[in-house]
Amino acid sequence: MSEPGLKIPQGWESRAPQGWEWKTLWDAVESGDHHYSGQRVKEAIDAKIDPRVILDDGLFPGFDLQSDRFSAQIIFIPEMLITARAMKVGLALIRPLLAAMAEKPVGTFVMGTVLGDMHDIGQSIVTIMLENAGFKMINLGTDVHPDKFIEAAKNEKANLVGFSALLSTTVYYQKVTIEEFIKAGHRQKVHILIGGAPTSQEWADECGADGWGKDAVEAVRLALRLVKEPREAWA
Amino acid sequence: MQLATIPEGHGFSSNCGVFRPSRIAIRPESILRLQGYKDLEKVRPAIREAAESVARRAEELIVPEIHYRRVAIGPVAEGVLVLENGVKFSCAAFERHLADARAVVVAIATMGARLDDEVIASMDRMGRFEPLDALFLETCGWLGIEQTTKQFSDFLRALVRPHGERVSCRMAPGYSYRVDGRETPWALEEQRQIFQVFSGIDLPVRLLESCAMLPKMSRTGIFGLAPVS
Repeated sequence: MSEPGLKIPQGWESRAPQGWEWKTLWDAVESGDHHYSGQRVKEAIDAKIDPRVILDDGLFPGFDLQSDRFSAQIIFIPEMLITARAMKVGLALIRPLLAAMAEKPVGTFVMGTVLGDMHDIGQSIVTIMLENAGFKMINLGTDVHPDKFIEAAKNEKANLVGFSALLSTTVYYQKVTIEEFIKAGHRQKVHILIGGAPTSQEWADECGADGWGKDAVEAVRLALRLVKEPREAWA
Repeated sequence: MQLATIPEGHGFSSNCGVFRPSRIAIRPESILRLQGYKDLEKVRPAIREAAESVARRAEELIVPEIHYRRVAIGPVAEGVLVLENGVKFSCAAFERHLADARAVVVAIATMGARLDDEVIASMDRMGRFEPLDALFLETCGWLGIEQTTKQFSDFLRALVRPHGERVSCRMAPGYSYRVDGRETPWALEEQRQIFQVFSGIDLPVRLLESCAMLPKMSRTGIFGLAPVS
C-alpha cells in the first residue's frame, strides 16, 4: 500500500488573499504544533478569510492526512492525538465565527460510556475526533444510565448516539441501552454506534446498533456517512 | 517494601498484609513501545518529550499497594476452587494451574486515586486539554501495576521458599487461560468473591456493580502456593 499523501484542496488560491499560503498550517496540524496552528488561524481570521475556508482549506488537509496514515497503521494514537489537539485549537478560534454565520454543525452526537463502566479515555478520543470533524458533541462521561442517554438525545435532538464499553460485563449494556431507546420510541430517530475493546461488528449486529467503530478514525468516517442517512424527526 | 516477619509454618506473620513496593520506575521507552513504536529513533520529538515528562509525573502520582490474604484451600475439582472460608471460584483452568496448591494468596493491587484524577484533569476538564498526557498516564498506570505485581510475586516467592512452597503464576477473574488448546475464561463477575475474601478490611479499592474497580488502575489475582515437589 502506498503511503497516503496530502490532499491539497483544489482551487484554494482563489479562496484566499493574494500571496496567502496554507502549507505552514497544514504542516502545523500534521505535526501537532498546536501553538503554531492557533497562530496561523488567528492570522487567517485577521486576513478576513471566510471561517469555512479556514476550516476546509487550512485545517482539514493536515488532519485528513494523519487520519489516513492512522488508518494505514503508519502512525499511532499519540500522533493522532497531537494532530487532534492542533486542529482543536484552530477550531476553537473559528467556531464562534461559524456560529455567527449560522453555520450548522454536521450533526449532533451524544456520546458516553455505558452504565457500570468507568473507562473514559477511548470515548474521549473519539469525542475529540468527531468534534474536529464538525459534530456538536455532548459527552455524558462514564457510567451513563440508559435514561440519561435517552434524555440527552431527546433534549439535543441528536442525530447520532455512541456507546462505549470496555469490559465484558458492561458491553451488555450497549444492548440494554438500545432496547431502552426502542421502548422509549426513539430508536428510529437516532443512528446508534458502538465501540470499545470487547466489541465487534458481530456484536454490533447482534445488539442492533447501526455501526461499529473499530477505532476513532473509523468512528468518524462512519458517523459522517450515517448522519447523511435520514431518520425520523424529533418532535 | 513491607517485609513480613518470618514465619512459623507458612511464611506469613499473619494471614493478611499490605505490600508496598520499594519504587516504581517508569521508562519513557516502555510507554512508547506500548503505544506501538518499534523504532524509537523515529518517534517525533514532541511525543518523546511528552513520554519523558509524563513518566516523571507518573512516578510521583503512583502510590502502589497490594492488600493480600493467605487462605487455605481444598482440592480443586471440576474447575471449582473452594477456600477454607467458604468462598468459591469457578474456572476450568484451576486444575492445571493450582493442581497441587494447598493455599492461595488472594491479592488486590492499586496504583491509587491520584493517577486517575490526573488522567481526568488532562482530558479537557478544568480548562486543560492534554489528551496525549492522559493516554500516557494511563499507560504509566499499566506499567506501574505490572511492576508492582512482579515485585509482589518475587516477595511471595522469597517468603514461602524457605518453607518448601512455590508460587504459581497469577490468575484473575476477567482473564482467559489456554487449557488443552482451548481458551477457558474466568468470569469477571467473580471479582465479587475476591472482594469477599477481604470482608471487614478497609480496602483502598472499591468494586462497582459492573465489577469494574475504582481507582481504575487496580487489579486482583490469586497466587497458588504448592509444595515444592
